[in-house]
This record gives sequence, C-alpha cells and structure tokens, in this order.
Amino acid sequence: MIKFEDVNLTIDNIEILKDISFELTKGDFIHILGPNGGGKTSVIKVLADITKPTSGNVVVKANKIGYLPQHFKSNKQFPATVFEVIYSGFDKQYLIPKKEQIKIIDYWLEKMQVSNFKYKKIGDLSGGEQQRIFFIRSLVKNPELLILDEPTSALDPNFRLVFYDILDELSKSGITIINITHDFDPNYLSCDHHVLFVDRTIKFDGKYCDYHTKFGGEHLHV
Amino acid sequence: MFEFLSASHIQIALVIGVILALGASLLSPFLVLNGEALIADGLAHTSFLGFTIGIIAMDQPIWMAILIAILATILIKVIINKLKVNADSAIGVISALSFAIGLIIIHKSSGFNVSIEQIMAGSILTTSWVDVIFAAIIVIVILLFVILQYRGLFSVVYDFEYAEFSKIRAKTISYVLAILTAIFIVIGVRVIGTLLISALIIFPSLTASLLKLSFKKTFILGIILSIFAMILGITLSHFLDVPTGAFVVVINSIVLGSVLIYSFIRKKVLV
Repeated sequence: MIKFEDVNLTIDNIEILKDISFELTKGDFIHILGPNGGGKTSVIKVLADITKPTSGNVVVKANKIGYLPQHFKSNKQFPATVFEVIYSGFDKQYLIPKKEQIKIIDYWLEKMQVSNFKYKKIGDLSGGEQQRIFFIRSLVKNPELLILDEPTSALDPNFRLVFYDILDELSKSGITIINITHDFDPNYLSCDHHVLFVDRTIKFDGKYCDYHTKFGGEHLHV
Repeated sequence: MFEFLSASHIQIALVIGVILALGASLLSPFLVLNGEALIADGLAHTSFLGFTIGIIAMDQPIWMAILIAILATILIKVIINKLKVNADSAIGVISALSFAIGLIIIHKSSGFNVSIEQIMAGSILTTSWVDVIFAAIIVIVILLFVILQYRGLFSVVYDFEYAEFSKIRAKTISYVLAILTAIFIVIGVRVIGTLLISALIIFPSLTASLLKLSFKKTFILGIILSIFAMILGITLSHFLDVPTGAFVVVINSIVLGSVLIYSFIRKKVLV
C-alpha cells in the first residue's frame, strides 16, 4: 500500500531525510518514533505528496487519507463550532448535513467522550479536547490511511489508554495507521506493533518488542 | 419620502452598493479570519500603479489595473509562503512599493491630468450601468466560487496544513481566492474608492464574529449587516448631504460599535 525506496530530502542544503526505505501493507499499524527535528513529520509530508523528495521513489495506494496535524489551530477567535470543524472532514458536504453524516459525528463524539461539546465554539475548548475533535475530523470520511502527528501530546494519561484501544480497533478493521509519537510506554504500544525509528535515516524498522531488546532504555526518552 | 429613489444616480448607487457589499462580505471571512484584513487596502494602493500606467498607455486603464493587482497579489502570496513573512508585512511592502512607483511615474510624465484623488476616491453617485454590469459579473463569479468551494475555503482558512493533507487543492483555492479578490478590489476602487472598498471587506466578518456564532451564521450575518449598512448609508447620506462612501463607513462603524456593546452586555449578563 505504501512503499518508500531510497527517499532523500534536502532543503536549503540541509539533509532532512537520507535513504529512507520502508513498506506498509493494508491494515498495518506503525509508530514512527525519533527525536525532535529527526524528520518524522517530513516523512509523512513526502508520503502525502506535500513535499517532493529530492530523490527516490514513493508509492502510495490510498485515495482517502485522514490526517491529524501536530500543531492544531489555537486561534480562539475563529468563529467555528465543533460540529463545523468535524463536518469539514467529510469529502462531500451539503448545505444541510445528511442524517448519516450526523450519525457518524455523534458516534465518534460519544466514543471520544466529547458529546457535550458538539455545538460549542472550538476556540473555547482546551488543547486536549481540541485534539480529540481533530481526531474525529480525520476519521469521519472513513479513510483507508490514517496519519496522526503526535495525536496524544495534549491528552491526559487515562484517555491515552482509551485512545490507543480505539486505534487498535481501527487497525483491526483494516485501516492503515501511521502514528508519529513520543509515547514509548509499553502501556500504550503492543509487542507486535510496527516501529520505525527515524533520525534523518532509519535507525530501526521492526516490532516494538525487538526494538526494546535491541536498544533497551537507550532511546526511551526521545 | 421615497421620491429620491426615482433619481437614476441613486438607483444605480443602491444597486451597485448592494452588489459590492454582497461581493465584499462573501470574501470577507476568508480574508479577515485568515489574517489578511489589510489585503483590500493594499491591493487598492497597488491598483493605483495599474491605473497610472493604464491612463498613460491605453484607453481602458482598468485592464492594466486588474493585471497589476493580480501580479501583486500573487507576489504577496509568494512572499508569505516562500519567505515565511507575515501577511501584513508582505501586503505593506508591496502596496507601499506600488504606490511609490505610481507617484514617480506621475511625476515624470508630462501632461498627466488626472489627480490621485480622482483615481483613488471613486464616487458611488457617478457610476454607470456599465460599472454595475462589471461588478455584477465578478460578484457572480465570487458567489459561485464560494458555493462550489465552501468546504475547501473553510479548511484553507481554518487549518491550511489539514487542507493540504486532505487533497483539497489548498494552494489552488488560495490563489484563485487571491486573484478574485484582486479583480474585485480594482473594480471596487474605480466605483467606490479605496476607503469604502477596504471597509466593505473588513467590517462584515469583524462585526459578525463578535457575536461568537458558528462560521456559517457569522458568514450570513456579515452579508446581511453589510447590505443593511450600505442601503442605510446611501439613503441617509442623501438626506444629510454628506459624502456617500464616507457615510457608509460611518454606518458600518456604528453597527460594529452597537454589536460590540451588545456582546459586552450579553457577556456580563451571562457571567
């Protein structure tokens, strides 16, 4: 479904990515780990065709891509409700939202425990609440590929567990998930989760348990 | 009382005023809420350069003004996106430079007998039905663009990065919006002048967003308030014998002030 072959990216003479190669099949659940400035976000920008690689091949066979950005809008003055923000995630929109669309929104608001915010102004919500809303926005179009850029950075530890359970469910339903994260805690990641450690180049590509065995605690604080 | 409506210049003023108020309030949320509130003022000054060259070089200076304004708006976008300069600074640099070049051209041209005031001020009471048709065409194009690209425009303004990932053709939408804005501003400057066209872009979203409504309601309320202020401004200016464009700006300011007071009182009551 996704194939990177010897992808290099250089911007303003600074080498951002070097010889990145990896492959994902449908339903894969991969965590991209690595230090700040290590090129994690650049990988997904190349993947989504926002940034052109300097060299190498990228193949992405997914029409519907759901995306949760790393830096969510914090313009408190922007006049939009939670419902409007989520509704903007649908590929097709109508003057009056369809019943099925409202059902999907209600289902995810309930699941993400934010039902009471449906008609609130998005700018009045806390960072963690906004992050849940933007996660729902990335899901409502029923994506084949879900790209999450540090989705748990503003979530409290208890809800992180719920969140990772939801990601597992989505993965089992056949959605390919790419999760850029700093969560190294075994409470969140399962042994068989695919891990890609990127620090300009790929330093590790394999199962989370093997990563632990290979590096121990060396890279636990990134 | 309504006898003044029989005067053809008042009829034209009301029709073109409503058309331009509609066009400006359609563009307003996507400019003002995107931190580009000063784009109208900037492009209006840029169109001065276009009109200046146009008056010297051709019979219909408006085409040169439109061309220069489009080039300027593209340049502003490139400066913002590539050089990562904030919108206000980029708009300020390009508008100041354009205005300066326009002044130099006037100074160096012999026999240039049109005043800066004539180019920049406009007059809603001296417009023709040709101007009305021009304005109506561009406003219809803007209306269609907003209706067909509503989702894209919302995402581009609210979260550009998300829009890019979602294959919304964010950059294309952003550039088309900028070009339509440039054409609209040039036509607006010619008809109603720099002052009023800038005000028509800024006031609708600024006023409506004070009420903390949804985006869609803010959008619709902005259109209603803008058209209301335009009709009231033209009508009252006739009876009070004051400059129409300036008075429409005053009415818009009074509406803004009223909404500000109302939202302040509502906040106090709710707290």
